[in-house]
Amino acid sequence: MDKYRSIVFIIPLLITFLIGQFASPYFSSFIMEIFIWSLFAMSFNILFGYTGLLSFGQSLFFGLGCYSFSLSIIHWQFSICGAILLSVAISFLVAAITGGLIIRIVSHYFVIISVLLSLIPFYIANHMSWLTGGDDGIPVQLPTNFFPYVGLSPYNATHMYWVICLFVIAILFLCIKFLNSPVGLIFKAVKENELRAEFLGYDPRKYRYLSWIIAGTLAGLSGSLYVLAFKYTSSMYFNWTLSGEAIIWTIAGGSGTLLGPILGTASLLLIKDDLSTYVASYPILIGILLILIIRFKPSGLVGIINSIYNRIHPTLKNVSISKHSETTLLSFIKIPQNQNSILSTQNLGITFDGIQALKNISLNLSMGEIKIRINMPNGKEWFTSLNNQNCFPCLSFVGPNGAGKTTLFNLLSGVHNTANGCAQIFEKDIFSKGKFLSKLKLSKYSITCLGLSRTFQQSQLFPGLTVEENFQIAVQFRINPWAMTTKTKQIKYRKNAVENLLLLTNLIEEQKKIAKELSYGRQKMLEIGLAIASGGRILLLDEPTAGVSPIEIILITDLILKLAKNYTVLVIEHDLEVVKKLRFTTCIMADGEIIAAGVPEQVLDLAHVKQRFYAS
Amino acid sequence: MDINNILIHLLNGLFWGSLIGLIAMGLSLVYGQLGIINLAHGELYMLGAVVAYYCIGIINSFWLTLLVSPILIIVLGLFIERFLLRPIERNTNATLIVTYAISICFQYVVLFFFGGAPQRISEPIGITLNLLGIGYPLYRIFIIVITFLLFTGFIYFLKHTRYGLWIRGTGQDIYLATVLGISTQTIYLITFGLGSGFAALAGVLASPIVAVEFRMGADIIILAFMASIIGGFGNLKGTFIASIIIGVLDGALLVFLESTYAKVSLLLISCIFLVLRPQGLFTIPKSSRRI
Repeated sequence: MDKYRSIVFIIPLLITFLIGQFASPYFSSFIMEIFIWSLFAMSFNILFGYTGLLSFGQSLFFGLGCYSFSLSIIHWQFSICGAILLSVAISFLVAAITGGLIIRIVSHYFVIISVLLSLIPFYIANHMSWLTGGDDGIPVQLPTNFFPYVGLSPYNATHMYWVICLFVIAILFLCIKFLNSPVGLIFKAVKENELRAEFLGYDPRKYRYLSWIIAGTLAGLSGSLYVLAFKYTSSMYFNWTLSGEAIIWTIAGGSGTLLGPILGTASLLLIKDDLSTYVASYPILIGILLILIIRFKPSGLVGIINSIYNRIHPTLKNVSISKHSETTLLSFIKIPQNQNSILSTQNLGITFDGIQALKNISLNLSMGEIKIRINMPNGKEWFTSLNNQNCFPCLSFVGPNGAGKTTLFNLLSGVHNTANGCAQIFEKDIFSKGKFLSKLKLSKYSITCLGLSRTFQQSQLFPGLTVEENFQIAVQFRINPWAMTTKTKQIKYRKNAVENLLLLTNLIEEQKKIAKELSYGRQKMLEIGLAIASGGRILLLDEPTAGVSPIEIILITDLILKLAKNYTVLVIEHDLEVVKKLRFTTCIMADGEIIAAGVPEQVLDLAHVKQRFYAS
Repeated sequence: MDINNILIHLLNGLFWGSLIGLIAMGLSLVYGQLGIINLAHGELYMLGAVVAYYCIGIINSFWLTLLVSPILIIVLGLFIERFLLRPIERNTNATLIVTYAISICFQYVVLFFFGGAPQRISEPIGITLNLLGIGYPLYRIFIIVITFLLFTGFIYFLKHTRYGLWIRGTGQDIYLATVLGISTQTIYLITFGLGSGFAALAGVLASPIVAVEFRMGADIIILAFMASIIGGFGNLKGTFIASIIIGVLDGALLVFLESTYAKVSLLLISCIFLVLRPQGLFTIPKSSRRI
């Protein structure tokens, strides 16, 4: 079924194409227009609907496509194919250059810079009207054949219709295939929760860049096709209000869906065609429509169709997993040898505006032993304990608020750019030592790559995606983060891995649910699952049981205990019952220092620990 | 180059800059408080001018219009905030799209009732000042003075009154402000209303000088955006100073370059700013935030 999904989506397009074949010349040219604009809207959909970049700059590429096509034909007598290739190449180049500059800009600023970028060529094109024809535009005299040696003429309406529509349908098919591929899913992940994507090992910037380039190239292509179909171009196609149109079409149809932009373009262009003969200022109606859609049905026409469909065919609630295989965990990182250190820090600390949040944390975890330097009231000493060989070295951190527990996790996972001291993950330095401060050497995603994953106090999930998709995104990282086509073998492997994770985290029944609709405890489970799925060997769990119902606390505790056999788990925990049940080596933290370490019951009974705890 | 000519360009730049400053201040204020970039802000400026055109036809007094038109637009702004923006307040993309839709609606409503032909309002102060032998209309000087007064007044309001403190507090941390008993929703209303009022006031002030038409907001909003970028979004002082700089620079560039290239080079400058210093000219970057 999954295999043929992309093909199913293309059927309505082919039907429309066939209808146009038998319609009046006016209407078939109208359908051609719809197809071309759909391609433009699709480029915006990839950028906004999937990657979450709201850009008013798509017209820049559309205009570029228009002009590089028409000018190369007018002045250099290019063939049609050559001109299309040239305009695609130019828009690709411009997208690559502009993208490199602006892709690190986010949210509001991105919108503004996209407007500014499309204004620059607009002003220039308006000014250089001897070349571009300015506002009035220029007619384009096309060569007599589409392809060399083939008798298809752009001046024959039927030939034109066939060539353009079939070409656009082919491109749209490729787009849909691309959006269905793992990279399309990761685009969605970047849109939903950038932070989580980063901590799963993906570099959001690279994905945004890719999306920007693809969208730009598509917009350029649609521009050149538009000129090909209508033999005319003007500087108005640079205007950012054209991007505004694409935004309206996409959102009306349903942004972030496969058919949404096409559906939206078709219906709004039809409305425009009908209404503009009766109502002079139909844009008012369009504006009101847009406001209403955003307010009441953000998923657009496709959303409406889906909800009607769901009412008729309620989805089956019973989800079963084909085979209950033994829980084999994903392990991409080699299990370290006895003496090799898994995680170690030397004098790790950080200062915020003069306040020392974390002071001189030194510890060393390896399969053989756990070494922690503790700051007792009567001086510093090393705590060492031999590690039980059935189990990975695990720690739990206990301490009052502001003791520096989360800060320690932040430092290890690469949230802060500077620190004191140094730290190693699997014997690789994550800080490079400077004169006073150490600088972060690796980015968050490359730390995840090394094998360290974490969770947060506030669960960081992909809230708008289903549990299954959440896992798929996380697992995909270790399979192939740049898979742009869907390979059956990889999909099978991914499915297997996701099923294992669902079993492990007890989320089988919820697998089709949207993540934000889960209970708080289930969300925590899901987040732990995501951390496992990203393939790390070290898991930092930040308060996994805070605010969770008692039954789910038991589930989570069991899960952590199960994990300890295969992972180095570091847990921050306030619930002492959980700490006692976990029986990890417990570090008591206060004022940025580790003041005691050892077996939970003993440590919690120490006099100075009690004093620090109850005093605060 | 004639010294008088330069002086005229400078003064023109100053008066343009102060008008842009008035608009950009509203933009920046709304962004600083609500986190919304109001793409319909230029249309509020346009509506200010259009309403002024009708008002003058009815009450026949520019000075009264200067009061009436902004008040009407403030009311409009309150409606927009309350009924259109509040339901989607924290959703960046949704607010951008909705404000864009509002701007389309306003443009075409005005086109429908007002027509597409540009209209003019006669200058309320007919006096021409003699500056170094060249005549310069007093009304433009008046604009410069009034915007500077308004700006200092507003900064005083923010710094030294209860409401100003609340507004600044809400901008810093909305949750804390709510917990402390500030009605943040009222603050949002006030802020959005004030922002719209500033835009409308700029519209009225500009109406005797520029052509009043339905597209007049689209051009100036770009300049206001640039000012907000260079000054740092949400930073009022920075924005105002940047507006003046842009106004003067625009004037200065016009001396050497054709208007298109002046515009393009301004656009490039602000693009470079966004890439290299997105926090603006005057803002100190915040240290890395905690998660």
